[in-house]
Amino acid sequence: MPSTWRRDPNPMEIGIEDPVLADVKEILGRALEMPGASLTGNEALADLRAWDSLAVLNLMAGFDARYGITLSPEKILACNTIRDLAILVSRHRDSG
Amino acid sequence: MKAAIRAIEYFLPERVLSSQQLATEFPDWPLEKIDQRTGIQERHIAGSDECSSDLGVAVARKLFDSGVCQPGDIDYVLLCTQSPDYFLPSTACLVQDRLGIPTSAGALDFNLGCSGYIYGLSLAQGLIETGQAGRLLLITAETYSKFIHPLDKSVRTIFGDGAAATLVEAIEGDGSPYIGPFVLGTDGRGAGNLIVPTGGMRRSRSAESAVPKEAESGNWRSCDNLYMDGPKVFEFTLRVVPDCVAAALKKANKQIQEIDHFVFHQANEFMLEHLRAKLHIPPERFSIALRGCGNTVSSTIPIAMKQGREKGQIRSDHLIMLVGFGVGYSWGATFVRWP
Repeated sequence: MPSTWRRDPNPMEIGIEDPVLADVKEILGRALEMPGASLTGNEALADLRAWDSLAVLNLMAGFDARYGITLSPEKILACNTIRDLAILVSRHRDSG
Repeated sequence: MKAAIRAIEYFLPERVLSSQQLATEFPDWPLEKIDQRTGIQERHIAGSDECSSDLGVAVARKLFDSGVCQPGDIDYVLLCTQSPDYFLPSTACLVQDRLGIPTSAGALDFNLGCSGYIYGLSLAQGLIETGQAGRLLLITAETYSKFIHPLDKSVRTIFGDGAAATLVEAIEGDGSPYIGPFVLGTDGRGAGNLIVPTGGMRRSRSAESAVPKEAESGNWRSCDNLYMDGPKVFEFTLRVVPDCVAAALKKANKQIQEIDHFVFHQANEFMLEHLRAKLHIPPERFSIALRGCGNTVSSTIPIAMKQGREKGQIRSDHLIMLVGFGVGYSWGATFVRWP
């Protein structure tokens, strides 16, 4: 099996929504009290209404509950978009 | 001889800061948001002349007034505080004198926050079971409100002042421990995430350090004020508490299902609910006791135990798991049962 067989999902490339991205949108929607379905994934996190330290806390709790992973606030805050966040979650989940 | 908890009392200052008042002061934080995040409705705030020794004396008098023992019976005072009356002498010495505890008693302060009650029980057990003390008064007392900037809603919504007194006695017992075993832990890399930066010898208070600056989410604080990085402290909690619980269960040779009741440090309801669900602890066996007093730091566990006893959630035959975690970082877990 070639070593490149398993790689991070790239929804932009394959044209369908990655399940992790869907989860992230749902968790983020709950954290920000907005419907996850209204998010495309390309939004900048900093532009979202109510994006603050409490939202980061909610995301940490949501990812821990959903995937059993503990993401540091620095890593979450280093993400520019929701899609970046989904890639971060995928990587942690796969390495965990 | 075995060390056992004989009685617990707690004391809260008279002045109350309600969530309704905070919601009025911070319009961007409506009442529902404060309630949902913290689970706190009221915090008690010490008066300007009311210090940790005053809270400690008040709570100890409450304990003595209950008739469980008298000041003359106490041969050791352990006092946990991070907001002492003075750098020196120890607050425990002030409390010993004001309560009329015999001069033959040992007395010392120890500086820990949210893990302080677990460490206090650990020290108490060691002192009693090595014969150095027979009737020990463990006091936890904090006035964190004095560190908090009035415009810092991140900590003002959470912390309340208060004190608890626990009488730990030597008893013959039935052979099984009443307190313990203990699992303790420390990680000083987290020191900067929950800190009052000035006021010690490292960095004195000055006119410059007292200047408040706007920080994250519109909060204001100076270097003389309490600072808490909430997300970092939550990350620490997620990483440490489940492992601490597992290690304590292993050390006690118990399964989680064998524990009758759980009393965790009452940090805030959001964090507690997350930990409870993660550890699969049924809500009826898990204390939530911060609605009327907030996070009182080292006193949250004894306050929750006392309230649990009063409500019938904690009975004499129960095996109770206690878990403390926070500033330092410092953490610990143990088990207690009433004699």
